[in-house]
Amino acid sequence: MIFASQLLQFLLTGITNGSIYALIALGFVVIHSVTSVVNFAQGEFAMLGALLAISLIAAGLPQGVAVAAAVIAVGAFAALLYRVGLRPARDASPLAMIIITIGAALAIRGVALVLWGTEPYAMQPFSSGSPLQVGGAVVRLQSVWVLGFTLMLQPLLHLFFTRTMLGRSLRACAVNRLAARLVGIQTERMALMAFGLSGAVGALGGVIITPIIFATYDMGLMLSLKGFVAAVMGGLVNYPAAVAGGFLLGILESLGAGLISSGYKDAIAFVALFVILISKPRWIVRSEQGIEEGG
Amino acid sequence: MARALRSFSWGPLGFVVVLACLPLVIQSRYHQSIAVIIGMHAIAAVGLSLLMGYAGQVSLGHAAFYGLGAYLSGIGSTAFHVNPWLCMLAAALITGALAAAIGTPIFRLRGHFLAMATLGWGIIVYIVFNELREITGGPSGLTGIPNFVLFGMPLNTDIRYYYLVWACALLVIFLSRNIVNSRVGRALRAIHGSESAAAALGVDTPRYKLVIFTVSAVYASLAGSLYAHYLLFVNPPPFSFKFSIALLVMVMIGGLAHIWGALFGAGLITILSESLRATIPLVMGHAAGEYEIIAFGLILMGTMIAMPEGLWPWVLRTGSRIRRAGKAEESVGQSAAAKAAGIRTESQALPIGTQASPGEPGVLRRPMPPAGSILEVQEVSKTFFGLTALSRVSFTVNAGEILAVIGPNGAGKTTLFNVIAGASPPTSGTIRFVAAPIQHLSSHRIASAGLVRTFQNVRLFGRMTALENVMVGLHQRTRAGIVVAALRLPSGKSEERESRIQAGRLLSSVGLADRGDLIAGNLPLGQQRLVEIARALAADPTLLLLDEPGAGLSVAERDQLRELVSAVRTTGVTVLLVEHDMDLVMGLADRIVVLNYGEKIAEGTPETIRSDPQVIAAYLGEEALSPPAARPD
Repeated sequence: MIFASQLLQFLLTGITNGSIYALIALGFVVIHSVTSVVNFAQGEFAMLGALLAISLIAAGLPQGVAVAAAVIAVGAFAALLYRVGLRPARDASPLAMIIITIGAALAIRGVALVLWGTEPYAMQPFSSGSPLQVGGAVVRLQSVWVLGFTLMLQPLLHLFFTRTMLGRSLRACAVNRLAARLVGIQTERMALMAFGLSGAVGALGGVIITPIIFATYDMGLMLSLKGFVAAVMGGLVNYPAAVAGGFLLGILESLGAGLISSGYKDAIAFVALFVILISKPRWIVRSEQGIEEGG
Repeated sequence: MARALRSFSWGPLGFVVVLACLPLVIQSRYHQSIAVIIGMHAIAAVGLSLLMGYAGQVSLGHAAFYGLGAYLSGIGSTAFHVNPWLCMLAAALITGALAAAIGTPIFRLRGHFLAMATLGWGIIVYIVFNELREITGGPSGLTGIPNFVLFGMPLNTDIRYYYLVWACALLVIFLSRNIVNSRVGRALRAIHGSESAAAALGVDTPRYKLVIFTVSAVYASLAGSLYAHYLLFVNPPPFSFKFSIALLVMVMIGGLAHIWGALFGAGLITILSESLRATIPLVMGHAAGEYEIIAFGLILMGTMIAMPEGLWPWVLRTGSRIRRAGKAEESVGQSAAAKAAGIRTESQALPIGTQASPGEPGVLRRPMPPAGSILEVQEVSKTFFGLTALSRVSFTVNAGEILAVIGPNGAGKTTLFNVIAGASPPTSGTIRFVAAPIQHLSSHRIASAGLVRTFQNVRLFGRMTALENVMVGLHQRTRAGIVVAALRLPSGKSEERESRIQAGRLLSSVGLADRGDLIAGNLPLGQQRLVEIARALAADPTLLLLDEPGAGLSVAERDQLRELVSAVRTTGVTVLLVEHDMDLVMGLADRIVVLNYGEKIAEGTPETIRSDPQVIAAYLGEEALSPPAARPD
């Protein structure tokens, strides 16, 4: 019985942690499908969102306002990053693009270090109250918030992508950029939008998880990597699958950390990545066919 | 190599002299230690430059190999009390073996998947350094690592160590330069230029990627061992993701495909990060932190956006401009070198058959196939994700003939070529080439067997010269491996000379004798097609697959092409041709196979095909036929 409730606890913790991977993975998928860039600075958006929200709260804003402001600001920042960092090099190779985003990630992290220093920051949970008991496992209220946001975002994004002109245009770019341009969609603007959207989603992920894990200037690297792993698990082109990948990764990590060793927790994601990449599922083969020179 | 040496011989010599004298000038121990560190970084950066710049493969986890070198050396010499020199050697061997083992699966990946897989590898190893406490000492590290001892003299001062590190660095540079300027280096650059084209010429692309990955890992391991026996202490932080990125920045600044550039990058970035580490706390006030990552990040972004070629090529150009201002007239590098290599003397067009007379040393020639069918395509189908591109296509190609495959757009002609040449295996059916089944062989094996193709959209190695392109064609007929190349053994040198002459002849035979030293990507399309054909001929094909060789050519160029293909046939090479230009097809082909919607609808001589009602229907539509007579069924 004790083992079962322990297992349930790992599962629930995994789902909470998996939520942020899911949100970062969503960001990867949005940017990758619209611009075919793998944006390594994705995790930095989460870091910026979290630290910005904390600073705004410290400056006296109410928590809800601070969170919203941070999410919007990071979205705008992400769009700016595309405009100044990636657009000038948009004809470069995919690898050059990755390297630019790595450079951006380092620079953002460095600036965050200057602004916020190395110490971890905490944030009040969104609602106060005692943790819930679920079948012998403990669930923090913030975890409910995290899961709620992650799950709620799904239908919202779905509506956005299927019911709005902007969302449909973004999808058109994802399917065929040239054809999208030919029917009059401004692909440059769409790329800007894609960065803005994934910046905002990433920031939201960072903000909602902070009451549970603390925020530090260097949290972005691991988040980027694990978000990427989650996105790869889900196929890098499919939104719901990326979210599922995030949850799966969170659960794997939490089980691994609980049952094997917490020191190797971070290695689990990469072992998973290896296993997936090396088994080469069909979609990787398909997505790689675009990578070979093509002319 | 010879020509590179001739044109740049002052640079390396001067560099060695400056290196040797440097410790006499630098008195401060701090500066001496920076010079030592630069040497270590240079060794690792040169390795990464081989991998990234020449083979075009990325590694974002090279710090792992650097760390492995350091830890293996440290553990061997402390826990097992093994001689440090032996430790360094053993560490390099173990790291190399490990690189080969993980490289096999990793290099099946491309692009961002490859980048992320290598990055993940780097992080896993870093975690292991931290967590394997009983062996690595965990976060607190390993202490008490002994010095190297050379002839009884412990290398325990900065100056002594400086000479050791830079001797190693120069050795690594020497070996790397030799590898780059060899058959192996050419194969690597070909992979960078177009992996599919390299494979189609018989370059075993997975193997070469793996070999160069292993070499670069061994370099990093050596650098790591040097680090361990210099600081006499190792802990995990120097081997983190940040160092992988630092190496990347060094190579990027150096312009990727420049060995000396990697050295330059290593120097610049090491000095920069040291001086930032010294000055930033003064400005910012915080004592702790790794502020230099801001600079790394900005440099990385800035170089990729503004100077994707790196800083070193710019330094070279500026340098040569200054030199040229001094000496008014000197013919520029490559053309002079090409003359020296004796290509121009072959100005007269030679018949193609002379490409390789059996007696010549160095370049092997394939035996002639027996008469009869040499390629049998039986019931071959190919589906892509449910879409049928080829449906049970069968035909044979007889030795010595020119067989053309025609069909409307989307008929499956190029798919057929890809399936035959091994670029994508058939879903079902068998393909026999000279009686042996080949449908499951990879393209480099098929090419080595003598079935060589060209591409519909010309795939030259754009940054290599026309001559070098053709020399890649000679790849599978030559033998020099990486050891022969690295050590510049005589056998490799004579083979190289022979290849150069052969390639020059082949270029002459397609009428491009004077184009050998031009960058292939800058040639006009017609000449690029000819270079591609010369390159394919260099691979000594039994069966040559030409995929729309006439596309985009002028009328005069097509006439030239027609003559060339006829001439190729007279040397005994069988030709399988996909072509849209009916004049070209009807004039050249002995027999024609017609595809439509992935099915073979007709086969026969040009005359019968011309009047076949199904063929006319496929090309012109049903209504073009006279209604009553022509319904075949």
